Amino acid sequence: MSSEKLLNHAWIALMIVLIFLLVPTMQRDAPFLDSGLDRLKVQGADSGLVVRDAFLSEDVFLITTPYDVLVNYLRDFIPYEILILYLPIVFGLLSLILFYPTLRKNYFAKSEITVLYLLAGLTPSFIAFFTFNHAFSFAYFLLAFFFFCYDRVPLLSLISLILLAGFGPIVFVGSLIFFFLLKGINKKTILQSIIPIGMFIWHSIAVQSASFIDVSFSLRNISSEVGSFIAVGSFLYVLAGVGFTHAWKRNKVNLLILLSGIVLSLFIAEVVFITLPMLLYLATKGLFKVAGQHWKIDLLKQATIFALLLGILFSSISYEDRITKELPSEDYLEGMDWLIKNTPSSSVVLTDPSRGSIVEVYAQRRVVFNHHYGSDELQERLFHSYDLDAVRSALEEYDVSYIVVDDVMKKGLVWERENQELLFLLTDERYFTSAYENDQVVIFSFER
Amino acid sequence: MNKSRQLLIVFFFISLAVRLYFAFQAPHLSLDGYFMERQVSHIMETGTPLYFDELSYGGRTHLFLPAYAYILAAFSFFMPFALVAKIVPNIFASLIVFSAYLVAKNITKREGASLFTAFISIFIPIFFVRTFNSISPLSLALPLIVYQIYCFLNPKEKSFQFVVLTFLLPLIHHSAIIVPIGLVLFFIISKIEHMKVGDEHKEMILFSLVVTLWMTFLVYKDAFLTQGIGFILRPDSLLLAGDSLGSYPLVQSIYLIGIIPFFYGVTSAYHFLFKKQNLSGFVLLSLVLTAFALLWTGFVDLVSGIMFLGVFLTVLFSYYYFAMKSYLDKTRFSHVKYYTHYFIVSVTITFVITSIIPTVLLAQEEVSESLKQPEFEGFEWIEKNTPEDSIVLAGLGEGHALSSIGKRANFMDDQILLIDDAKQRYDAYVGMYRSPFVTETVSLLNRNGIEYIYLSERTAESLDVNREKFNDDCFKNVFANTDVTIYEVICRLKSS
Repeated sequence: MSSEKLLNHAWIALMIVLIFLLVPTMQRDAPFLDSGLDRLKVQGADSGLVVRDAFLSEDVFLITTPYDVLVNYLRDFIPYEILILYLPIVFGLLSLILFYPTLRKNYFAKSEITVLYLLAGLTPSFIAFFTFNHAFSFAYFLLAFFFFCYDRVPLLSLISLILLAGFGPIVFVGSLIFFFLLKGINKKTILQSIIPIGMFIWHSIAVQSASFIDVSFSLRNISSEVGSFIAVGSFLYVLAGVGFTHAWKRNKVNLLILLSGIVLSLFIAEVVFITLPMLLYLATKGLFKVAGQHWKIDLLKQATIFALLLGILFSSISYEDRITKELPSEDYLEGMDWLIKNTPSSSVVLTDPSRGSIVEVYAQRRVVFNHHYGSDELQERLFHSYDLDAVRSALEEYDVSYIVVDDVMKKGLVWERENQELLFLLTDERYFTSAYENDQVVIFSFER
Repeated sequence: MNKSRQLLIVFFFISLAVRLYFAFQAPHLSLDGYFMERQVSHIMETGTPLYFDELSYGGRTHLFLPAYAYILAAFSFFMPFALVAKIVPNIFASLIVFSAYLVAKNITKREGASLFTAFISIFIPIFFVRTFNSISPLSLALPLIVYQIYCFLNPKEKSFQFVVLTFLLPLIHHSAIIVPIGLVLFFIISKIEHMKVGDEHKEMILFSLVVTLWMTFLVYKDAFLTQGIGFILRPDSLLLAGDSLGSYPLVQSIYLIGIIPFFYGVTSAYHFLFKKQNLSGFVLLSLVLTAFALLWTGFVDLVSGIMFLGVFLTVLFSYYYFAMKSYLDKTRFSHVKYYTHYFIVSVTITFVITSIIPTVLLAQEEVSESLKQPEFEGFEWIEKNTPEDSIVLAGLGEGHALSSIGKRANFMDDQILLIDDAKQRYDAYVGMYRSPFVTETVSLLNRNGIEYIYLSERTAESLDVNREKFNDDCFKNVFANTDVTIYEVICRLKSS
């Protein structure tokens, strides 16, 4: 079969996507993203629109998304561990399949769709959203379902859009943007969006106590190669840039939305929900432009395509390699298991904010900080002081009984040296005892 | 062989001769050459670069580009490394003569201007001084980058060389990224100025961008992941600013580039930007702007940045030379007998005063800054008289020489990429030398496991070291000569 004919078979691309989604699932036991851990907290709780983070002393509320409602419903029929591992993958594949007619309608050739699928499967954002319990997996599925049903069963389409309002502003605004981009802004589409917008406003009012969006500027958010877990790879930007030059004159509004989205994603990482499909679209067009156009220097054409494909492959392999090593690892989970079995359920644990949710979910213990909560000032008082009395008094104030320290915290995340600040104080055996230790984690108990 | 080629070969040998003269004046390498020396030695012994280095920071992973070390190792199979280190980098650096000539010829289309540019490229002060005795990868990277620009300007004939260089250069020096960024800027400036960019050039720009990006991520993957995008802003220069890495004020930067190439290069850049549209001129202009921007943002270190500016402005200078000569041809001055000779002689005299003399003076200074024999003996003493697992405190720039000659672990050296606690170590390093208090010094030394202190005159001067405290009983003077004193740390503080 020639390569051109091969490209007409999108199912081959779907198989490859499936493999890329299964790799992290096979190699890990737990989610690698904070948002995945948040879902675990919500899915276990009694449902409501918002769920209080039970293991935090402060009132922090998490939104129950339609994805969590679905998981809570399905867990009666399918084991929960299986559900959260494989349901996002199913949504990933279904989303691609359901987008097929929409793409065809928008003048995408079969071969272009196959390439788009492949690019999607190799994109770190896609892997992040469609593995390990990420709510965006269902959101993308609903979006694809919305477009699939739009002309066939309008009612189902409307229901999908209403459900998308339950995922918060980024997903809903993103969905509306795609809706208006593909179907145009006219009387019909505006009327169709009124009920979902109303639902969104109602939902926003109802869950106002919950923190919708984490806003914090970070250059890391721009690309997976510089440390982001949900951004796309740099080579997708390069390919999209080529597509951009091709599409610039045709639709400047779309491209301005994309550029705004990329800039916004530096502040709110989740905006990649909106930019990902646009970047994939442009990158596909870009790749076809590079490959299809006559080049004056043929050697450069071959070398460029080769380097681009290697680059994209490099992005995804290096990303998959990274996420398989991300916390919580097996050692970490063993430490959490020790906490469950050997400490009172009312114990409060001190650890770095980025580990807080792991302790909450896997050790079922209260924490002082997690990725949603924890003031810099308090972290300074607890982690970065040599004053034993001051640290003891702060630990007592927050009722801390256990301190979880891991090797990443010791090597730069919190401290730079073995005997620095709190680490130094932890060697004082009058107050601190090393209660549990493995290759990665040390758990100290604090005696008042 | 035509006259131009003969002259170019003469220039090449002049460059090589002058460089070798200064290189062999110095008994040992410059201090920053010892990192490469260790890499080459390791490649010769094991076939692989020294990625995990037990002697740097008491054990760390190096992130560096290996191609240059492999090239030098290949030469080391035919002659002793001591000779390779002195000769081969200078041969590479002298190739700048040919590259500069080719690009200048492309800009001016005149033999005279191009040959003159080739000649002055020999004496770009900073390029000369920083490459004749330090085994710097830039000695090869810069001539190749200029040649790569020539290939870009001649896409039909030189596309294959362009492809090869685009793959090779990111493996020699990280600042090779200056070319793709500069070419993208060239594309943008051309669009703004409504100048048509040929398809071949667009293809080359895309290709170089993709390949360089790919190679950069491949090599620096870990640094990007652990330190984020900020690592490319050279945290070391921020951390160590004003210390051994050096920082030059503007006037000194111009002096290091060469006064004539700087001013007339800038004039030519202005001319290309606002008066005359010229493809080669735009490319050079874009590269000058990129070098300046990367220097300003801290993406390249000061020395490399000024070196790039120096080379690019020197090539741009060729246009000014050509324009000036053309202008004179149209004036009454052209009726004067031998006026061309007067012109060339006057430019040459100015050039000698503003570039050759500074180059010679700076080279002499660099020779005196190279590792001195007494310092070398100090390191040799350490190798012979200290336990193999001891950690030695030496000046920041001396860390690699200590590991190379003394074969002992240093507390810190000037390669801080992937070092988590670099800032803390640097503070401790300064504290151990500068603190006037014996207790504080011993506490820091104990805490960091340091058993010996190598105190050279250069470290004492640069850090304003408090020598008094080393007379205390806690320190035993175990070695001393004219330039170096080595102390053994005797005391142990119980609390540390």
